[in-house]
Amino acid sequence: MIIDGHVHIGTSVFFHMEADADFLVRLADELGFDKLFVTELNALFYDMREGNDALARQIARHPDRLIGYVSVPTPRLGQRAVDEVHRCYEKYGFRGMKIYSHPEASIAEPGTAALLEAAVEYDMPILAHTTPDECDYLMAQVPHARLLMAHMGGHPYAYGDWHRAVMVAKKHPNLLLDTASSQIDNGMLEHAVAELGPEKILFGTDMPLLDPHTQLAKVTGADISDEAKRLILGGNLARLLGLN
Amino acid sequence: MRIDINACFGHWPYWDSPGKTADDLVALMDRNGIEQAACISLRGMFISWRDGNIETLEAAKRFADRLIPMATISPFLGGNGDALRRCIDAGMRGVRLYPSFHNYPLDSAFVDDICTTAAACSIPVMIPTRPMMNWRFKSLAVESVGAVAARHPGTSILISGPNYLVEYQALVKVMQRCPNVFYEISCLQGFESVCKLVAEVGAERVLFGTGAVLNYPACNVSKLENARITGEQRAAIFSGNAHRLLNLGSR
Repeated sequence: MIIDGHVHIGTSVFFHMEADADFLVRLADELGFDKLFVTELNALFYDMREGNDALARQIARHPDRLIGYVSVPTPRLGQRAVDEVHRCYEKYGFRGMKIYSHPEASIAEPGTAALLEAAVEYDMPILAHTTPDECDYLMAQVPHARLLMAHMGGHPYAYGDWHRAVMVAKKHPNLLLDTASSQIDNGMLEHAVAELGPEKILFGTDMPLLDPHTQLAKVTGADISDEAKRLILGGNLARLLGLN
Repeated sequence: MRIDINACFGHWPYWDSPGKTADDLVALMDRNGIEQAACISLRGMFISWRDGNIETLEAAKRFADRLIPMATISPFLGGNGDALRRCIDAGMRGVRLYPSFHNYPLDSAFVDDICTTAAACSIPVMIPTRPMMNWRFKSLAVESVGAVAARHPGTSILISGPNYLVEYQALVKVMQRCPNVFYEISCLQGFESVCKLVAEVGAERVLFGTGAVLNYPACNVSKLENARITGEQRAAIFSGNAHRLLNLGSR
């Protein structure tokens, strides 16, 4: 089973992205992906309630293929953000939470703990676009949260430092790494698997921002065992979400 | 056939990269169905372009049917057009410039000398805006490479490094303005970017590259194999354009 753990739906003028459920499922069919774990761009960058509601409608078109993250623009929304996590779990059954750290508004703040605790209450994995050091801070605050470090350091704000991502993930049992990134550094997955084991690495593409074929080949072409690839490509996320 | 226009071997000072030797590079090529690769020794990027070029030529001699030697050169240690000409006489098929790593500006008499010599000898000048697609390396502005191309319309300028969004748009603008600009795809990670780029500038100036040994070659093989372009365009990008640009018919 292949599960893409990092997919976007909706529209973003900054990222030049526009995608609906039908488009994503067509892509998944071409790529041989069984399920897509999806975050909605409006919810993540503008109006969380409107965006999460839109995601629920999109998931309803392909409920067997799409899984929803409740997205929150910033933990600085405080109780409103916490309430949104409760609402989206209870009303829509979303299975994960997506949060995003900006240089302009870091998520490495004491106020984020309440949001992480809300996700913990529903056993939601938390996909966090953030830096390794911010993850270090958050895991110290809420060590029982299951945090997925989006891009494993491979984005501009984190300076592409996947070594640091691996070092921090090694410190925290519940911190996992997401493979989605522009970076395709030879040896990065071999290093992560050797240091952490394949159980702590999850496959993601960041489509339709990034080319999914490139992202898939990063895992399938890596010099790691077939069992490690199976776990990374879907086994780990299936276990986390209790899927068959 | 696949010709990788952007390969290298050697030590990488930022982390323990798994491929260090020309043998490692050829093994990676074998695993990924790549017949030939234009390469440099990283010694030329970090220590001495003279010694690096010697290593590159030795590797290309050992793997004569697989590795195509590319020179690198800087104004330090006596680099100039005459030195490049000697590299070409020794068998180099192109030259790569690393202004960020060799500490000189693109807007310089040295760059003009290299471009003039390259044009006279019919070899391309490759200018990577970043050494690989890793965000820790600050990128040169694509427009600054475009300015070199505009100053030297008779020189084939091969750009690598631009990725998606604003970098991609700058690249397209430069390629549309300068017919002597070519582009190598290893850092182009945006959704369906190869297809979009071919639609904007044609397939004749787009080249397959992997950035091996620093990058996973499989990623760029898959990117191009799955791009929504014609078979003819794919063949041109995988090898035909490199064959022409590097003048491999005369090898």
